[in-house]
Amino acid sequence: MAKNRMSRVCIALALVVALSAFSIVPAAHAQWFEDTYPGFFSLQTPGLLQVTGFGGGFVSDKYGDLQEGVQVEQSVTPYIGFFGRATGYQLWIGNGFESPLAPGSGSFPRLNFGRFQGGADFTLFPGTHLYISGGHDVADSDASIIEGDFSSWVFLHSQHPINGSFSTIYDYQNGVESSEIDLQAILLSTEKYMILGGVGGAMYFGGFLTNAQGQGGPDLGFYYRPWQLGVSAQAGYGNAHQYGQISMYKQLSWFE
Amino acid sequence: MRPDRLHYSAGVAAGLLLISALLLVVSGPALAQTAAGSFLSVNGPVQIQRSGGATIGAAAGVGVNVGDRIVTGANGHAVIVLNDQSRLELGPASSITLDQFTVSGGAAATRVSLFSGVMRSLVNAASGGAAADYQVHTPNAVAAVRGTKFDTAYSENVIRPGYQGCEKYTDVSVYQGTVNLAPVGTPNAGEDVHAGYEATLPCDKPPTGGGPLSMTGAVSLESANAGGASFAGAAPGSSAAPVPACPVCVNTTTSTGTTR
Repeated sequence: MAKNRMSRVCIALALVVALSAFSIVPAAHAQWFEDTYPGFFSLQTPGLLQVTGFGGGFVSDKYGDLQEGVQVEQSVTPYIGFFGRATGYQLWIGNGFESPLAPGSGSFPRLNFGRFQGGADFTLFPGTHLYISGGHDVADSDASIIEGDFSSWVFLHSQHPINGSFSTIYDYQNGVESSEIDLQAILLSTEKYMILGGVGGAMYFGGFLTNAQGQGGPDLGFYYRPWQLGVSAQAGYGNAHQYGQISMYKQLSWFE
Repeated sequence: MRPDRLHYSAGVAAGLLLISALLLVVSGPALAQTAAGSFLSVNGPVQIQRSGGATIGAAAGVGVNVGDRIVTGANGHAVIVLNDQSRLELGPASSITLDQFTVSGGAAATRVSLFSGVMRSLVNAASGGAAADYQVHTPNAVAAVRGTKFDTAYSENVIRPGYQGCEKYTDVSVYQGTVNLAPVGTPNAGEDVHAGYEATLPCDKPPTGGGPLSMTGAVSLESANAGGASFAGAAPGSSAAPVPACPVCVNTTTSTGTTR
């Protein structure tokens, strides 16, 4: 009890110190804020509506799955937007699947479930986004989830910008946290297309998992500008042994 | 010299002067109205302000002269084909003046001023077998083409993140060839932007380095028309990678028998 009270006092003190420091030089901060986030409190005009359709598949020695869905995002200010995402999953698990991720020994018929999420997209800097969302599964899964996605492009004004992204999903039903990390660069840009290359992987821990699980490998991407269509593929090795995955997405956008 | 001869010479000189002045007056507008091309297509409100002062509506087939100012409305769009078969494609809310169009020895020299909005240039570099001499001038930059297809956009009274209070920008998006983007005050201090890349010149500062098309926030004809076809990669969570998380979800609901 005393320890909790101490922690609260420390947090309150830290907040007071931070606010004091911020208020000492308000003019300088205001200028920095205005330069970094011009028009932060104004609505984005015209508004932007973006729709992303996506689909993909994962295959490994242990299991395979498919997913498909759509994400709709509506801008509110130049830095904040709201989005909703609906994803359908189909999952197959074969004999001999010994991973802690297994629902049991033996094989299972196809499992289907849908995931519905909603959240906000914060543009922290040009090319840097933070997505926070929450949602719930239906059908063969009944999990509530919370997801955070961070993606940042650096060296945008160069021939080979680099993207680092990190996504993590926490499942409130089983307490497992699933994270994905990816690092990739634009290898080639032309009038019609871009080629991207990098490395990525995923990791799972917490909940009933006694050890962290995961996999990783190189990935390759292709984006065709006239269709706003992207394809990326990844292959590698991990707890599910050899694996490969492919994903596609198609983007559409409209001024309102 | 006899006085009557003097009078005669003075009369001849005055006559010549008068004729020259008349010729200048007559040829002035004729020079300013040198035909340079015509409209291939027009959509939405598009107007031509002739150098003589008259303003007419643009339509497919209407001629474009040197000195004309062409203005598109909020939903306007126009394609102009110059006499050397180069094309100018104007986006919405754009304003240009065709300052120069001359053909010498089979090669064309073209100067276009862009005051607002966005314009795509498809330069016929093969014209006469000579290198293209084509420039787009904005209030703060000069885009000199060494290639064939690029967009130039000029934005004013807007603030973009990361440019510390600058409020005017010239963006160049290059699809084919190379374009040299330079501040209007120092045209020799430009940056070459290659096909597949775009760059921005903020205020009177040097241009940024070229970044891949539709990634840096530069305005292009596509982004002006279609609501910003910017590339940010796949939507987070839409890649196949998070999928393996799903067996975890299923694990709980099936093996423990705690389905709804």
